[in-house]
Amino acid sequence: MKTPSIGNILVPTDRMKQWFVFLSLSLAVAVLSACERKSEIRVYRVSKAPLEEPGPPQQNPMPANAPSPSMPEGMTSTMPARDSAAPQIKWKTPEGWSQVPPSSMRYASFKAGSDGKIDISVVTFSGEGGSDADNVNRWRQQIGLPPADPATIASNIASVKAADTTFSSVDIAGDASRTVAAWTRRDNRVWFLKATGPKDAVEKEKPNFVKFVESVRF
Amino acid sequence: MLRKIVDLFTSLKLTIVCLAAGMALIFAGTLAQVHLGIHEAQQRYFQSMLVWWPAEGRGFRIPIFPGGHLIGAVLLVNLIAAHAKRFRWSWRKLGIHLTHAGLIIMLAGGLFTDLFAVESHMRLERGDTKNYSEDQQHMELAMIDTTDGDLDQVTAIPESVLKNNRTIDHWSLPFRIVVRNFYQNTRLQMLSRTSSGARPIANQGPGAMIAVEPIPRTTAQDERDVPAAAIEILPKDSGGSLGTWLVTDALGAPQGFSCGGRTWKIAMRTARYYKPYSVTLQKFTHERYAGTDIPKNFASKVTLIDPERNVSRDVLIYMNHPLRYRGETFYQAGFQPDDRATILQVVHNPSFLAPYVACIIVAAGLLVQFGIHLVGFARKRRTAMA
Repeated sequence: MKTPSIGNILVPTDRMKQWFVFLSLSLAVAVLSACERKSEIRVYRVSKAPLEEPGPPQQNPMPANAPSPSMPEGMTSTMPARDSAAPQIKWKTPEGWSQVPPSSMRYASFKAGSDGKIDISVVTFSGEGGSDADNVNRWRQQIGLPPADPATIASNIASVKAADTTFSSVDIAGDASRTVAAWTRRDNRVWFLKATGPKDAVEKEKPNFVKFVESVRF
Repeated sequence: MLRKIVDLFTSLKLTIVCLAAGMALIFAGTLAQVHLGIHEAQQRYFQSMLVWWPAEGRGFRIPIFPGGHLIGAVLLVNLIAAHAKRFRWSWRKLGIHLTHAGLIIMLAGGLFTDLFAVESHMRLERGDTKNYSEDQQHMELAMIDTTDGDLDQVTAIPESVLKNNRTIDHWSLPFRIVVRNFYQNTRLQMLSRTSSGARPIANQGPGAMIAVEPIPRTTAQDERDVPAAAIEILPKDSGGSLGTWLVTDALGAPQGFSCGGRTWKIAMRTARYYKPYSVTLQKFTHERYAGTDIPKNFASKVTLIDPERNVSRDVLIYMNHPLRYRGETFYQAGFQPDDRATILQVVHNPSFLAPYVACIIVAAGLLVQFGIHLVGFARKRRTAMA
């Protein structure tokens, strides 16, 4: 670059000014393209995989000297569905069941039966969680049965004894689907354990489900 | 005209105005965190070109103050321009030039990190394999075409597009999406459990049985909003409607429908970044100090598989030893309460070297400058003593 010089001092030339304009323009383009990029619709192809849900909130923070460059971990949802205050419970998972990532409404999820057609859920809410008749009627509706009156429902409820509590349970069968559910109320909190799937498959899996309920420890 | 622009950008008054505006912005942004929470305040005040009033809504808005990106960019241009205009090469000023160059790199690096860095997380249970990470701060509406056997085609619509557009018409979708309602944070309840008078905002899928109650945005650092929207699906080839659907990540399972002879799934979920490689968690170890619950060390042993580059290797990620691969850095960031899963923070930052380079150049500049003065001083003293 030919540059006018006085002794060992250089003075800016037109070329320097051009460089400056070029630099400013590229900066402006970079800023605008970044703003645009963050709100664009993306289209891509991915191999088929089950849609996984975010896991339960993380409670233990890293120590203060952890290298994580920013942002605290463990985003908890403000929605009440899966209660992060829920105490930990333990169970023995029956053979043939596989645990799957729980959805945000659930405490835990399993698949069982051939082809994993039986869906087993563990759900908990604080409080009473509605009346037994309401809950059973909701499950009946889910498998295409009409609501039943509270007296009939009450007469169909059986007890299942676990180590430190007793569960109430029902077994309802529709035309094609069947639901076996057990629930208990403890420390101002209700726990629902429920298995739903094709009628025959649930019939076969019922002894395992009962064992699962019996194995629950608070 | 060009002369005036050059004069403006090289003016030292502009530097003072930018620094003052920066101070005012930091003050206002810090106060705003009380009501908005840190993430929202950062976005509105610092990661924006302009600060708008009112901040919410689709209607009329006016800019009331320059945002962090604008102030930073103007300050950077000003620094470069002023330096270029007043630049006089001399060996005696080498140190000062180096120091300034280092500052420019640091400022530019900061701006580019803010613009281009992407932070996300990967949560892995033992044995899990994932080829994507998730951004907990941003949601997306995924419209997934599941018709083909092996691959799903995903159209990912960012939350900001849902929030700011009434109608979304995209080439990859055989339907238009009309956003009927959008709520930044909500609480969902089964209609059967709410008082009478609550009405669903959707008429298809589980959304028809759910009452959506808008609630104020969360400001806690360890919580996030649960945005929800009611969207109507209007096929492009016919005049009909496929109904209004409630979309929110609190629903859990995705919802499905058919349109244009293809099967679709809709899911509102945390924004995903897919990678050309996968990570499998082999083992997570969590050591505590003896007799306490105080964490001492966390380590995740993962297997990295990249079919494109023929890579398959085991890596141990632990404190101060992140995994760097293909421009991304995996830090050991956390774990779940019962040690069931590890949480890795995934940072993609193309300008991550800028602060290191800048610091070295500034340090070298200061050394040279002080060295020149020291040598000059020593020479003078020797001459005086002689």
